Amino acid sequence: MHAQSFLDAIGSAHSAETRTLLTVGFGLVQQYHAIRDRGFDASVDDAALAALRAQLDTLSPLDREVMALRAIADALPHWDASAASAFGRRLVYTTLLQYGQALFGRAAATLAVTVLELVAVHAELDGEDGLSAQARLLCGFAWRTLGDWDASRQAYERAYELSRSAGELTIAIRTRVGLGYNASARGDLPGARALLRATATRAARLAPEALPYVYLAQANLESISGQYEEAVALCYRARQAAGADEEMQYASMVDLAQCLVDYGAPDVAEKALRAVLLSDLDVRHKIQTKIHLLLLSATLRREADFAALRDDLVPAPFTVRQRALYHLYVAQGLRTFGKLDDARTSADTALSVAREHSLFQLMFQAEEEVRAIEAAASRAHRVREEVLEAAPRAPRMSRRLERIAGAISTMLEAPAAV
Amino acid sequence: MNYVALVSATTLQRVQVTVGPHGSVTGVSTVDALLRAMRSPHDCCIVVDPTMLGHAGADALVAAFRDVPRSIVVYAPIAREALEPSVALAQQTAAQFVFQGAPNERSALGHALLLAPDAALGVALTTALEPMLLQLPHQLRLTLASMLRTGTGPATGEALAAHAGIARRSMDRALAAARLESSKFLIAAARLVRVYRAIVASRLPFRQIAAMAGYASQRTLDHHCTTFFGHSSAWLRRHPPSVADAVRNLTERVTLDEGVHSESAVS
Repeated sequence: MHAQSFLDAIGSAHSAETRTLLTVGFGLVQQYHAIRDRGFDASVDDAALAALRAQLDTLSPLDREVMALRAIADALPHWDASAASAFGRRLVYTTLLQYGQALFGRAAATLAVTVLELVAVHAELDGEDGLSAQARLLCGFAWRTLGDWDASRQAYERAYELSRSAGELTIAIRTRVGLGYNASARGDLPGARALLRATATRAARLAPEALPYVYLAQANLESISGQYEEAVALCYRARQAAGADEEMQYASMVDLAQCLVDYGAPDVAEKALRAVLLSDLDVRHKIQTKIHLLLLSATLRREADFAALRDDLVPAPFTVRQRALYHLYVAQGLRTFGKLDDARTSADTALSVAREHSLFQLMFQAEEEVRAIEAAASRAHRVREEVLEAAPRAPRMSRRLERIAGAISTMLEAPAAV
Repeated sequence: MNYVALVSATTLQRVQVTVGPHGSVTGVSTVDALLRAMRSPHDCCIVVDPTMLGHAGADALVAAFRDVPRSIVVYAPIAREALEPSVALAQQTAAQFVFQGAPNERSALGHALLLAPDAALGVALTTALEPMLLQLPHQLRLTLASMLRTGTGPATGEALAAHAGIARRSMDRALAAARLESSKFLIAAARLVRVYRAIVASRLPFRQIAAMAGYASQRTLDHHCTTFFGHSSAWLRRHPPSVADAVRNLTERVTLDEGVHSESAVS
């Protein structure tokens, strides 16, 4: 089954680089199967791995997928190492998990599921319940992205069982969070709310490091329900619970910014995102943050800032998802400034990229944007926007926003404290 | 618990944050300093980045481990220069491995550091059980010995059989023939090796220890402590037994008297 998925992906690859990546990936997965069946045989496998490494040498070493593939090639010779502690197997399964994650980052969700399910099944057969749980957790997320709710639910439920037996409580909590996202995405908001509330109680007792995941899921739910005040408060709580976890700090600040925008406080949102840019984060997170700032600059009607960010991001090493998002936000920004023709071009680009790589959610958003651009031409739409802008903000929320803005300003003044 | 770390500055900070108030972390910059800490009379847990160790350093660490068994946590990037030393440590010590970049990296690091097993207890237990273990099939013997030394490994009988590469029934027969208790009992004993130090020599809440170690609840942890040591976890913390006494209790409970099965005691 994995062979067909890889061959389909190779056949539909749009660039030589993508074809090379997929070919090497396919080759390494085939090597993995062979080594798993008969053990590592240096007389046969060394040459095969060397050939695959040589192909990787032609690609950017900073690419996540390249790094993950190189790790698999380095790990496979140690498959049989220390059979007693299963060090070799755990090492190889971990590298395959990383490869699955990297494929997901490149929006190759179908292929990612193929690799992750391979790890999930084989790790479980080998008694590595913790690794199987991790793989199934990622599968649950991937299946949700692909819109297969049943497969997602099954993956999360099995991940929960395996993670409990392996003592992986953070994974167990994240599986419940995943089920909560599934429920809210399907429209079962009360069910999602109840599940996430119970999960938060459990996480507070048993796995406090997993609380940010729960709070962000609850914030997403409240945002969908239109309860923006609650969503903002939950994002801020996630930020505080994240502690020294940079990934969760980044995720909570970005979600906080989104909720603040939804509530109608883009100025505070901008402060949150600028605090992220000052922190010591991975370059891909900073690119993502600038993309969000791009949209905010349009929301705040700062055309100069918008143009500067748009130009600054042109040479950025986007992932596929980021490229689609960039064009979508450029379209939304240009629409704000009345440049509807250019906005339509960007929206069409976003739609094309999203369609090509099966990014369904971004596809829907791009289609929405095209409709919005068409409607923006109508006088009625312009009048409605003016009325919404004039709506007063609730006093209680104003005070809360002032406190949050103050805290973010403090972070901006002392970036080491972030 | 004292942690002595041969890692980069960024990693040292992460280790310090993970350990928090449950121990003190000292960074060292050379292998010699690490080995000195290992050979000191004070108990400690060694945390090491294999890229800073190299082949010679790994060999020296293995030699030191043979003389003075200590808990070792290898916090390894998956890079070629890290793998060779890691393999040596995996094969010849009771090191736990946390791979950087894994989805559960943070929680795995927390588990490895906060539930660092008592290496002396693990080594003494496998030495005491050696006559029985020698009667087992090769792969089962290796897997079980590793489990009892490190406290980590398969969590169920089926997983243990899968690890050992034999059928479940064959494994059960082999264990009985070697006068060892059932796989469920042995897995429970290995889990106690894992949490023993956290129970007797730390201030981690018992509920947190139970959850991190995969027990269904704190009550289950106490039930197992009572079964194997005769006392609850709270009692053990107030009256920590010596390693020799702990080994004796564990050995008595995992070896089979004629015609007696105790599987029901660890349901």
